[in-house]
Formats: sequence, structure tokens, C-alpha cells
Amino acid sequence: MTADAAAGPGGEPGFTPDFTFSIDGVTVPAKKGDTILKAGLRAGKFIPHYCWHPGLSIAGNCRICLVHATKTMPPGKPVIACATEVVEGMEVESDGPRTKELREGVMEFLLINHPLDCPVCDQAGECDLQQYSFDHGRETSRFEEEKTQRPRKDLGPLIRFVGNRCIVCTRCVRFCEEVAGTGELSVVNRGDASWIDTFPGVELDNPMSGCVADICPVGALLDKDSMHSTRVWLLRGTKSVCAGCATGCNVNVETFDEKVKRITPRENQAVNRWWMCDAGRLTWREATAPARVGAARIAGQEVPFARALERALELVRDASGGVVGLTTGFASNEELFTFQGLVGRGAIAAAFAPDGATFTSRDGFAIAADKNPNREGARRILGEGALGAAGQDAAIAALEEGKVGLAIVHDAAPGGAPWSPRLLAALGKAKARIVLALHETPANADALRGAAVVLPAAHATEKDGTFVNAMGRVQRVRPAVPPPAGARSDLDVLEELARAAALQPRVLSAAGVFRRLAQALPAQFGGLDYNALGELGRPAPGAGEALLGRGRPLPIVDGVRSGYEAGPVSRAPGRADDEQVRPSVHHESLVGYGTRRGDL
Amino acid sequence: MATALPTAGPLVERTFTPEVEAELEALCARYPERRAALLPALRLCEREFGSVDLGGMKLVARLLGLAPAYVLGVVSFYTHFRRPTDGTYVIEVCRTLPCALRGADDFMQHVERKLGIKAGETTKDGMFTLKDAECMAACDKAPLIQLNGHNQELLDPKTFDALVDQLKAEPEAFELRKGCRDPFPWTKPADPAAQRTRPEGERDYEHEALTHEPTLLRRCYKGRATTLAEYQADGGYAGLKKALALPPQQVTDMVKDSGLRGRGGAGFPTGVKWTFIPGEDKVPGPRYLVINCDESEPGTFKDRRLIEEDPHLLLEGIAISCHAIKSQHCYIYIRGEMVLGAERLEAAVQEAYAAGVFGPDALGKGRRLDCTVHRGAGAYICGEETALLSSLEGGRGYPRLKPPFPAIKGAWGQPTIVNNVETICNVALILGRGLDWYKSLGTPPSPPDLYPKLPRGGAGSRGPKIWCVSGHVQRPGLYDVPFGVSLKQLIFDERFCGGMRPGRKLKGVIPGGSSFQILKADEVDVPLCFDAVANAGSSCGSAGVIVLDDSTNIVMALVNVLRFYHHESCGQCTPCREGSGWMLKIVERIAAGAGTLEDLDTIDAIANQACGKTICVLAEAFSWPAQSYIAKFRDEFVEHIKQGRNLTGGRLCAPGGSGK
Ligand SMILES: Cc1cc2nc3c(=O)[nH]c(=O)nc-3n(C[C@H](O)[C@H](O)[C@H](O)COP(=O)(O)O)c2cc1C
Ligand code: SF4
Ligand code: SF4
Ligand code: SF4
Ligand code: FES
Ligand code: FES
Repeated sequence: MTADAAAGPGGEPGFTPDFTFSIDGVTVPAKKGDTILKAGLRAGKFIPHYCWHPGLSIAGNCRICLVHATKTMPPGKPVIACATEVVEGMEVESDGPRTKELREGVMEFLLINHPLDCPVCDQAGECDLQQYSFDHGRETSRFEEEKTQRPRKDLGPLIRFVGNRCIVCTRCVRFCEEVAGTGELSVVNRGDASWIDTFPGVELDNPMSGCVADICPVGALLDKDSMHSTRVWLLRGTKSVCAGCATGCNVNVETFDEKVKRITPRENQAVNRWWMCDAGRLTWREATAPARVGAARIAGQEVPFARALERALELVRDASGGVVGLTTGFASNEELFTFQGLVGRGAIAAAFAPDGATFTSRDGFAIAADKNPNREGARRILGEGALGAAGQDAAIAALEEGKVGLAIVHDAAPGGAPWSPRLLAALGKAKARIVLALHETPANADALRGAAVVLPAAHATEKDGTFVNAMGRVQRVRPAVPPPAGARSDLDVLEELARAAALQPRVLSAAGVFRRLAQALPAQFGGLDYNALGELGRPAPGAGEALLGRGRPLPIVDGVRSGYEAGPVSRAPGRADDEQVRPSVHHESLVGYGTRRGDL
Repeated sequence: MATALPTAGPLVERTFTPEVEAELEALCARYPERRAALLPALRLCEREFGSVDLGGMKLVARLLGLAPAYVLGVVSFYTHFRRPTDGTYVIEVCRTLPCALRGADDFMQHVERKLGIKAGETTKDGMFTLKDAECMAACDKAPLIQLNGHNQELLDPKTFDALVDQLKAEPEAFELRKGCRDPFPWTKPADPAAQRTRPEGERDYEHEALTHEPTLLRRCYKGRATTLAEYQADGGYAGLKKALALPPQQVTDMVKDSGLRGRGGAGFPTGVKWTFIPGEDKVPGPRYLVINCDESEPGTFKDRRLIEEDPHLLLEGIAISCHAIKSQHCYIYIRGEMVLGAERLEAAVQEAYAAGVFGPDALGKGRRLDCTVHRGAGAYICGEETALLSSLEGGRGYPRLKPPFPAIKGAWGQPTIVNNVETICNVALILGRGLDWYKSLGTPPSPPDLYPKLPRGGAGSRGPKIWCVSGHVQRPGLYDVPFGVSLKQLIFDERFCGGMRPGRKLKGVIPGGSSFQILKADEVDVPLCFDAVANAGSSCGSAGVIVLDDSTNIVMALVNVLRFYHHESCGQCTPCREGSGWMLKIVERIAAGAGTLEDLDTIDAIANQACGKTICVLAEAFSWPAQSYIAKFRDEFVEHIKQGRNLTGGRLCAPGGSGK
């Protein structure tokens, strides 16, 4: 099997069973060392679980996965499926009456001190407690006593804790220790007075803190960004990738009423495991930021999109002299390829957002320093010459010669592309200028000012196409919401312009552009089929190691927590300062145009 | 319980002096990982800063390379650290069942009146903080308090007032009473004139009990610790010499052959446990011996006496056991409340290092042996062996999933044997006095002598044994009598406990510590050995024999027991965390006269839903008492429900101590 097959959820490279056992009479193949739960999940046999998470060590505390099984010690005593190793010929009862009774028991215990505030709880609709109590609960409660009370408080800039809902599964604590490696959370107190808390003054503020809300099986940890915004069952998910950096985390862009409400991670073992970073989670706000270019303009006056496009087409058709094109690491492969065709033999320069903070989790997930989602695509399509300073110098030279009739600027970079001042100055030398821009900020204001036509560019959540991540993996971005009123997608606009330039036939879809691109650039994209990219993408020729951070982090212990493990020690061995323990979050991509984490 | 976090007060940045930092580094060097020095480091904070406060936690986190939240999680798990809000004198009154049976509740009321504060409060002048406490492993000395970590025993209103008045009047002149100065609780020496009751040629356990010369406790009751010289003069450390001359396997075989079963509660054969350690070819690296001196099961107070007054018996046993299991480091995990025990044990360990029992060549051929006293910090659950290991490693005292068992994967992931103090003292005796002597005591497996009260097929219960008797007997205390003595004889014989207080009859006995089932008065004619007591539906457990007389309100007894286990549940697993509290609330409601008959079924259902479904057996520890009290004294529960009131006005039992 290829490395790629390992990427899927639960996918395992070269899974060959060592023996079989059975769950509810169904034969299940297993590898030596598998737990009942793991082997069951692989075979599509679901056993309820709260505390178990595939990316974390085994805690075995919630007890919802209790099953009856043969060949266990002592015979007849139920075992937890998440921690019990299967042996050949073991017979597991997961749906039978005896196991049902176990689950009813655990559910009853879990609910006695649970507030049952589902109607106002953000987790309702995607709550494992709600789900299992529907599946395994009793209809009436025998509990008549007063419930215990635990605090409700903010744990950090992104996360709120609602103590009474916490089932003390410790997923969040283990996440901060074993994955983020920052250890901001701990169970405090003991018994039914335990809850989850931080040390005063040391907030839950690591670059991946939002993940605790994803993995909390109940509504005890809430993402404040999306809290109280929409009932989750109304959300529509679009499988896309994050455009926050070159890692290209697989995400679900969740929308309601054609508006993005939140972005959550989607498992891809070759890219982001189960996680995503906090900054990426908030990238959807770029689409609604005040700096967004919402309407088309001709000579600085807002006009209907169709008129502006018409004007742009005229400019292309009538262009005399050379053409210069400026683009960014935020353009999709399809946009870049079309743009290249449009500019033809003219100079093309791609500018990139500056490097930002990086972070590597203990399990190999890495936030790339490169904040451009498609620098690798630009490199593969435009070639090294167009990139960075070299590309800009060539463009400046062409412009300064004074023979450029038309400059086409495709600026889909959040915060505005960081063109060099010299390039901005030189732009004025082109006779006319068409600008597609996502944002208008001090960075790109000079490019927009004096443009003959300005068209709104699409945000990543509005795009159809592909990006190539830092490791050379080609992944689909899918439009979750339409571009601003009346606007058409960047690819669509660029295609129209290219046809107007009569340089190439009009292609209608991203898939079509990709097909042409793969044919034209076999060394870069050969063998890839747009429709076969699937939900998890495919490595392009010469792709690097699958996981960006692999090899660097401390391995997480894939074992039962009962065994001894490296504890929640900070990443630095020996002495460590708090500052080292807690890397700060990068969110510069949001700074400067309206949204900061502190505002949440 | 107080659910407030120990985070009161502002964060004052703290630093240790270079000397204290060096002390901490020396502590770290005693463990394979720095994190293990967390509890000791927090004790340094207590000493240096007067309490464990936010600044101290932050400092320790930095010095040990831990996240501050982790340290807070650990601190808040334990109850025995001094908090910043504590007064100069912390007075903790034991309220657990054995003490309560001897008047602790009335005593507490007096204490509250005298100090003018309730439990959990501090006097306005900041002098006294009063806390409810749990079994201090001195149940024969009730009512008692801990005053800044030291037991002040056998108090009454008058002696308590005197204590407080003296503290107020001249705190400088006040000298803390440390340790017990009490005589042997039973007639000594053994009674040679005791009459046999069974024919010659048949074993007569009653006679054996009466004529037995105490062995485990023979050097105790001096009011101080036996010195190494005294211990040697009494034949001590001869067993170690013998052991070191034998190959390790042979020592293990002897222990196996002796029939010694663990004295910590489960009664698992010690020699057999030792053989579970995998060979060095399979699991290389260190092996550890860990001594369980967490003694917190209510009604159990033998280990405290052993380490406070005869520590070298344990240390000799440790050296022998380490030789047998090829361990080069023993950690003695002693519960945080045993301040004096830790002091005396530490002093004895230093003596033993000086004498070469521990140190560079202790095991011969240049093999080193180390012994480290590690103090806990107030959590009953840390007596459970895997919770103990979590705590030893510097964590919250969370029990771990089994398998893997500690013998395979224990402390720091290495093969580890956890044994109780008394168990290891027995090892010293096996080597010191010989197998033949040892095997002549107690009950053999599947007794061939047809001792009529023993069940067939049991594993036997060999050797000497200490019984801790508390509650409503004339002379509560420790009784060093081999297995086989009948429970009835122990309670009623004049040489031992001397029966009930005047005018009172026996109601029931919990034979093995409060987590086990109660036996009714007509069930106590049972030989005290693992097999027979198990057969009677309870357990010898940790030998905490709690005696209840007929004035005891069984519902109130259950409330007391459940409060303890609810407070001590570590809270990891759902059934125990939630079930213990639920059950307590129901029983409290019944005790308040608001119960229903269905409640009794619900209690049973909670027990069944929890037992066998949790990580450790604490679920059993609160379920078994509930189920057995209700099964055996159902009428009394029903009467509370029917009459809708507390039948004794909320009292646990008739006032007064032993009547002596
Ligand atoms: C809740 C709980 C509390 C326990 N407390 C103690 C204790 O305080 N002291 C002790 O020696 N064993 C205690 N044990 C038993 C230990 O888990 C373990 O069985 C024992 O230390 C093994 O030593 P032994 O074989 O020498 O008895 C406890 C067990 C449980 C489940
Ligand atoms: S907050 Fe959520 S994830 Fe954390 S322990 Fe509670 S229930 Fe589990
Ligand atoms: S790591 Fe990069 S791709 Fe992943 S969520 Fe963060 S910004 Fe987006
Ligand atoms: S049974 Fe209770 S004490 Fe034991 S691990 Fe579970 S919650 Fe903790
Ligand atoms: S999922 Fe197995 S115990 Fe929680
Ligand atoms: S010391 Fe009070 S109950 Fe044991």
C-alpha cells in the first residue's frame, strides 16, 4: 500500500491481520496488540467511548466502553474495550443485554450530576453524552438528590469551561500534555468535586488550544468564537483545507444561511492528524473583516460587478504593449495556471506573506512558518524565477521600461499582498491596471489606488480548486459560501480575462483547468487526477515526508496510561521557564484589519 | 468537602535560598525522574514559606520542569499540605467510624465550642484552624487530634482545654507531645498457665493465642524507637546476614514456602508475587521495592506502631526482600499524616546506612542498596498500590489500569513489588527465626488437623499477626496473636480486649477495616484467618477489627463510612466518582428521616452498578459496607424510613468511651 493510503481516517499502512476474534458474533480481524475498541473501529464496529481518543494515551476512566468478553481475567468480570487487548478467538458482547445493562449503569451515573441543559447547550446535536443517553440511557432517573456544582469560567482567550457539564474524561488535559505539550490544564480537587482548571495567571493559550473544544465529548469546553451562534444541527459542512499557512490542515467549513459559522479540523493523518491551530480556526473572519473589498470599482467609484468586469475585459482586449502580472501565495493552482496563460510572455511576480510563528506538537503536527497556503503551488507552476525578490525585480524592470500596457494584479492575500514599495511605485508606469483584491489595507492601498478596475477577490472559503501544501500534497479547497454579492470567483474572472485576451479557450471548471495543468506540467503535477484527489488530497511528484513535524517532536506514548509514561513535563528537559512551556500564539494574519483574538 | 481550590491569596513570587535549592537537588537525585521530587519539594515550601501557596507552586514547577497547572492539580488532590489560610496551629479532629464510636462527635462539638469556630474555619487571631479529619491510624487512642501533624491522643474536654489554654498562655513554652507512651494493652508475658481446651495432639488455637509471646510488637511500647544497637542486641539483622549468604532465588523460595500472605488487605501470597517479576533478559533495568506505609483504612493502626517504635524490623525486612527480588532501591511510601513516623524512620534509615545495611556495598560484591523515605500528603487512595506508585512518581494519586501489574510495569515503568509494612516485617522474622518456627504459627493450607471451623481448600494464613481492635471494647489496641485466634476470643477474652463496656452487648464486628462487610454478633465465632473470614462473608483485610455495641445506630454508622469513601474517591472513574456521592446522599436522607423503601433498592443497584466496573476496588469499599449493613440490619433501616425520623436523634451510639 502507498504511504498515501495511510492518510485516511483509521487508515493503517499495510494492515495485515494476525488473527480474528468476534464482536457480537461478527468476525473481526485484528493485529497483535490491538485493543477491542481499536480493532472494532477498524472493522466498522462502533463501541461507545468518551475518554478514549485515537490521538491520546488511554485513560480508561469513563467506563462507557465496558463490554463482556471471553478470555479475560478474572472470567466474567466486564472489561473496558479501550484498554483490553484482544486475543485470538475472543468473543466480545457489545450489543447484548448484559453489556447494555453496563452502559445503562454508566450513563445513569454520568447523568446524575449533569445539568441536562441540552436546550441551551452548544454541544447539543453533536454531544456524545446526549447521543449515548439516547442509545443507552434509561427513561427515568432514580436520582432525587441535589446535584454537585462546579464552576463556569473562561480558561483562555478561546475557551470557556462549563464545569457542571464536565464528565472528567481528561481528554483535554491529556491533549495539552501529550499533544500541545504545554500542560495548561489539570484536573483539580478529587472525587465528584473535581473539575478542569488552569493555574491562576497561566491561561489556556497555546497555538492549538481550540482543539480541546473539538475533543471534549460534551459541552464543557466551548469555542468562544462560535459559541451561542448557531444550533449545530443547522450547520452545513464543506470539506476543505485551511488557507492559514502552508500546512494545509484539512477542515470542515461549517456554514448556516450562506455564512461561515466556524471551522473545525478534519482528520488527515498525513497533514494535521486530528488537529488545527487556533489562528487557522479563525481565518473565516478574514472573509467578513471590515477591510474586505466588497464591491467592484471603476476608477475608484463603486459599480456593479458586471460593469467592472466588462471594463476589465475591454482593457485586456485593447491592451497594447506588454502585460505584467502580480499574484500571491494565496492563489490556487488553477488561478495561477490561468493567470500565467493570461499574462502570457509578460513578467509574472508572486509575493508572499512573511513568515510567522511555528509550532510543532508532540505528535508531529506542525504549524508552518510559511503563512502562504500555496507557495509550493506557485513554485511548481510559475517557476522559481517568478518568486519573491527575483520575480519582483523582473516585474519592476519591465514596468520601468515604460512599455507595459496593462498590469494585472491578483491579490487574494488576507491583509493585502506585501508588494515592495519599489514595485508599487513602478506599477504606476503601466498604462492601465486591473486589481482583484481580497482586502484593502495599508499594505496594498497603493496598488488599488489609481487602478482602472478593482474586482473583489474570493476568500479561501469561497474558492474551488487546489493548493499544494508545504510537504507537496495537492489538496482540494471547496467553496463553502458564495463570493460577495454579485461577484464571480477569481478563477471565473481570470478565465474570462484569458479568453478575452484570446490566448486560450475558455475552460469552465477548476477540474478542467487542473487537467490541463497536469498535462502541461508532468514533472510537477503528473499522474494526478482532480477527481481522485478525494477528501484527503494526494502527494504531488517529489512530495516530501507526509507529516510536516514528524521526526522533531517527542513521540506520544501509544500505550495504556496505567503504565509509566513520561509525565506532563514541559518540552524542555530539566529546568524550564514558564515562558518556554508556553509558546505564544501567532495571529499576525489577523492583525491589522479588524479581528484579533482578544476581541472574542 | 471543601471544593475551593488551594489558590487563595495573591501570587507572591517565591525563591529558595541556594542551600534549599541544593537540598531539592539532593532530593531529585534520589529518584530516576525529577517529577518524583514534587511532594518533597512542596514540603520544602511548607517549611520555608509556612504553607504551600501559589508562589511556592510556581517556584516548584519551574525547578522541576513541570507545568504550573500540573502542580496545582497535584496539590489540590491532597489534603495534608498547609494552606496559606491556615492558622498557626492546625487542629484536626478524627471523625472516622472507630473514633466516632469512642465519642469523637461529642468531642468535636466541645472543640468547636472551645475554639469558637467550626470545622474549616480559623480563629480571628489567626491562631487556630480547625479541620475535620479522617482516620489517623491511632483508632485505639480516640478521641484524638492532630496538632500540626502530631497526634494528641486519648483526649477529653478537660485535657483538650488545658492544651488550648497552655498554647494561648505560653506558646513558646509549649512542647508538642510526640508519639505514644502507653503500656502493653494486654497481659504480658504470655500466660503459661493457660488451659488447653482441645485434646492433646490436636491443634488448639485458643491455647496458642493465650500463650503466644508477641514477636512483631516485642520491642514496641517503649515510648520511643528501638535503636539499631538495641535491635541487634535482641538478635536483629541476623536474618539479613543469613539471607545475604543465600542466592536470591532461595530467599524467594523460603518466603514462598513460609506461606506468608500480604498484610495490606488483599492477602496475596508474598513469595508468589515476587516470582512475577520478569527475568532481567526480558525486562532489563532497575527493579524497585516499594513499602506501603500509607495505612489509612479506618480501623487499622499497626504499621504506624511498627515504624514509630521498631523501625529496624522493617528495614531488615527491606534489605532481605531487596536481595531476593534483586532490587537496589527501596522507597518507603509513608502517609503524610505520620510526621513522627517519617522522622523516626528517616533517623533509623540513617543509622542503617551508617551500619552498612544500606549503602555502597550493602548487598555484597559491591552491590549498592538505597532506601528512601517518601512522604505522602493526605489521600487514602494512595494506599492502593498503583495509586501509591502514581503518587510516588509525583502525580495525583490516581490508581492505574491493570494489567500491567506493578510486578511487570510499576514505578517508572520498571518491575516493582509493593508490600505492606507488616508483610516485610514478617520477611525479617522468617529469615531471623527460621521457617520451622514461622510455619508453626497460624493456620496451614487445607488444614490437615481438621480444625472444625476452617473451610477446606484455603491457602492458609501462616505466621504471627497484629490485630487492630477499635470501637466498643474495654481495651482497644494492638494484639500480636497468630492467625487462628477466634474473633470472639479476641474481643471477649480478659487477656485481650476484655469484652464490651459494662451493660452493653455486641452488635456487630467489621473484621478487616471499614471497607469490609459487617459480621453480626452471632457470626463472630470465626477463626481469624483469611479463608475462614472470607467464608463467613467478610475479610481479614488489613486486620482492622471494629467493634460495635448494641447502642450503635447502624444507619449513622453507614453515613460515617460512606462519608469517608466519598471523600476519598479519587474521582477518575464514573461509577465510583458519581456512585459514592449518590449513595451517601441517599443514606443521609434516610438518616434524616426522609428515606423511602425504594431507596434501599437504589442503594443496592448503585452498588451492583459500581462493583467490578472501576479501575480500583474503592467502588467495592463503599458498596460492601452498604450492602452488608442493609442486608444484616434491614429492620433498622426500615424503621428509620417508616418512622420518618432518626431513631437515635442523630447520634451514632451511646456516649462514653470504653467504660474504663
Ligand atoms: C482503596 C485501597 C486502599 C488500600 N490501602 C492500603 C494501605 O493503606 N496499606 C496497605 O498496605 N495496603 C493497602 N491497600 C492494598 C494495596 O493495594 C496492596 O494490595 C498492598 O499494599 C500489597 O501489599 P501486601 O501484599 O504486602 O499486602 C489498599 C488497597 C485499596 C484498594
Ligand atoms: S472538559 Fe470536556 S474534555 Fe475536559 S475532562 Fe471535562 S468532559 Fe473531558
Ligand atoms: S496550521 Fe496552518 S493550515 Fe493548519 S489550521 Fe493552522 S493556519 Fe491553518
Ligand atoms: S474506583 Fe474510585 S478510587 Fe478507584 S480509581 Fe476509580 S474513582 Fe478512583
Ligand atoms: S472509553 Fe474506555 S473507559 Fe472511557
Ligand atoms: S484514628 Fe480515628 S478512626 Fe482511626
